[in-house]
Amino acid sequence: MSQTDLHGTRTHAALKLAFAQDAQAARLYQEFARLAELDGAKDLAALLRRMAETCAMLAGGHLDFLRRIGDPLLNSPVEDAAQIRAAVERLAAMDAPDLREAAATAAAEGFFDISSWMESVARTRAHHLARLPEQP
Amino acid sequence: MNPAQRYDASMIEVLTTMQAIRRRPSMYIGALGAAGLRHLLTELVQNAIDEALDGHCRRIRVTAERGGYRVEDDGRGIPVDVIDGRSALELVMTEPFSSAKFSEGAYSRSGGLHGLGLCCVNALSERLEVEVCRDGRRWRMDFSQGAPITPLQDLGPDPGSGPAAERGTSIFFRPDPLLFPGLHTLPRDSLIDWLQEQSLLNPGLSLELVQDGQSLSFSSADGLPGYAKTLAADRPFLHPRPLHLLAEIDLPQTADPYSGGRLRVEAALLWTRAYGGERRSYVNHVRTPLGGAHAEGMEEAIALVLLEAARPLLQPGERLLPADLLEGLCAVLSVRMRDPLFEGQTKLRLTADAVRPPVRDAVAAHLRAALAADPALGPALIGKALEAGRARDAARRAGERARYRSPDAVISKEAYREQFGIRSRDWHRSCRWLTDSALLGQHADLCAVAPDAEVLDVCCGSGVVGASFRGRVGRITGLDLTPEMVRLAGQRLDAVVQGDVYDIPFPDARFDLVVNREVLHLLPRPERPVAEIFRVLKPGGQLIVGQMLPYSAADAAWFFRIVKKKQPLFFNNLMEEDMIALLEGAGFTDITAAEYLQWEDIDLWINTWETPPLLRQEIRDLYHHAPAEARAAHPFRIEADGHIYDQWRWLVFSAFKPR
Repeated sequence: MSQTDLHGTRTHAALKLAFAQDAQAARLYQEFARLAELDGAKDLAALLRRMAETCAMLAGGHLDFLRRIGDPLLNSPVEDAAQIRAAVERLAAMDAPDLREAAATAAAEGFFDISSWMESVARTRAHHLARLPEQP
Repeated sequence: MNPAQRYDASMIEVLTTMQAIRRRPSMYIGALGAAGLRHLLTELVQNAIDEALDGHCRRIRVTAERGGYRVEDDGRGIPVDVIDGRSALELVMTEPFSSAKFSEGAYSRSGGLHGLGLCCVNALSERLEVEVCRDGRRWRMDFSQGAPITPLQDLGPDPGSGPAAERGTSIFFRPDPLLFPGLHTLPRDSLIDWLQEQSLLNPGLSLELVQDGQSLSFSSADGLPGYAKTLAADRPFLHPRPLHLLAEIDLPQTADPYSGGRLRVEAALLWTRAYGGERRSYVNHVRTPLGGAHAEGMEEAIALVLLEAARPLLQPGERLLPADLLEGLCAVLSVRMRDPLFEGQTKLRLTADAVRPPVRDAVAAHLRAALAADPALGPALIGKALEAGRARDAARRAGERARYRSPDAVISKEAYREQFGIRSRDWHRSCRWLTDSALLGQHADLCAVAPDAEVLDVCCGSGVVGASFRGRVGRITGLDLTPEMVRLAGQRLDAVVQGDVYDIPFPDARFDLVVNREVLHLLPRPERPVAEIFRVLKPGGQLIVGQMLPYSAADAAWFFRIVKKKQPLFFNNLMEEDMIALLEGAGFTDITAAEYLQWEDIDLWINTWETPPLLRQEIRDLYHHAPAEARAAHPFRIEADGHIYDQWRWLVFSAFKPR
């Protein structure tokens, strides 16, 4: 099979799911390690840090294959700086309405701190976008 | 490839270690500037203390003179006898990794260990003069930028003066202005705490500081228990005397050539009723600000023993964290050992893992014995930990309790009353910004109302903001939700009313000026209190409102996390544009803002009831691991001892109700 044949297959979906799981696990285990350390469980913390590193490596492994299609969220190619820039812009554009909507929902439900957090996140992401270097 | 970028054998440079130290001083002393100069001075004093550790030195004097420092001790004096054609003195001053501290003969334990300290001081000094008094004779040798400029001179039996008159070492150094431009001495106050600390660690050792025409002496007979009491100075003690342990342990000899030797563990533990505590650790009298194996061993022991003792007292579903057990603890831990392993030359953290189990076992054994000997001690310590655990839980719930349940419902005020009621006990000592006179002046300077204007200070706290307008306005009234704050503000303002900012208990158009500071971020739906303020102002009346804000979108989310962990009632991460929109939305016009930058002491700011120990640690972690973008936007600094200072950005807004 050619590399583009991966697109839309069940294998492709499984790779995307595995990437999301391992990327999330890497961050979560890192956080768990910190909490375990604060709780005095230093051996558990050390183990969790090693697990987090391994999960991050695994997420990179999934990306090795996913890159044949492109980034796993947009399926768009990310082979040069211009494509990467375009992918980041599209991802940010996709996220921004979600964050604003999440902020409004949280406020409507009385979670004002979470609403303010979502607004802050939206601003920080917009800041990132504004800092992307211009296309050559 | 750029043809000018040649790379062949001719490009290889071989530096001597002394040249390498001058080329990259920060690798050896951590930093240049005042911190670097401090490191040089510390190296010399530490060498004198190494003599004291083995009982050879009783007096150390530090004198600021001729654009540098002189350090004198009455120890054994650096040897001057000749080895391989050079005196031992010249060798230790100019040859890195030459030291008597590598073997056991001359020093049983020492803070210096790499044989680099004296060489670093010498290499980085424009001038360095050493005088040694040994065996009834005085010797002298001078150096510049690490190289000898005189031979070793025998000055004969003539005694000098000062601590090294009869016996000892006197070293003068002047930092090289090429590396330390414009820097000759350190602020005297910055040395006082350090020398006092050394005197507390070395009972019987006398230290003296001569600077700015004054001489200050430091000595202590109390040792570590006295030191723990000094740390706990302003906090009420939970038990009358510090627990004091002293143990000597043989470390196991393994295949590791650095293993084995005798470990001396000394600790003083004093629990206080305060929220925060302070723990300091030392290895061979060198402070380890980031702790390490010895500090971890002590903390493990405390957790182990107190959790055991607390288990029968826990309610179903209740649990204690080690951080709860360390709450309010002021402790000093000092270990002495041969060949300690540190992270880097600046010795911030002890990495010798073999030390952890023996320290843990020694502290655990002592703590168990102390609990058995004093039946009142266990309940006191555990009661305090349970209180900390419950406060942690209460802090978690506070945000939920303050939730504004529907647009028409009245916010639960209980969480605010509880938090600010408790904090009122030490309100002005809970942070710097509250009483920062320049920040208060920034508010008062915006005052644009008549001298007889009637003022309302909304959510007045202790009333300092309203009081800062004294002399510019007429009658000043305070409004606060918390009875304790109402009493406090009563000492400063003309009248204080207990009431709610969502429903200000005054008629429309009553006041000429309303002032408010650092409150709107704590209030869900801030547009409602702002509308209330607008209502009670007369047409043409002024609002002056101060708020600490993120610098930009770059630090907004990072700073949100810090403030939310500190303050569970933080609801609005307001930015400058939000504040303007809020004021405009209520109908205010002529809005202006004045910026004020203020250095806040973060350790002080987070040392309050509403911030549990776990979250305090998380806040410190956020500073330590701040993203580069947040760092670039938002200045803060972490001192060598771990203390954090943050440059907060305040905006003080002035706005007017249209006539």
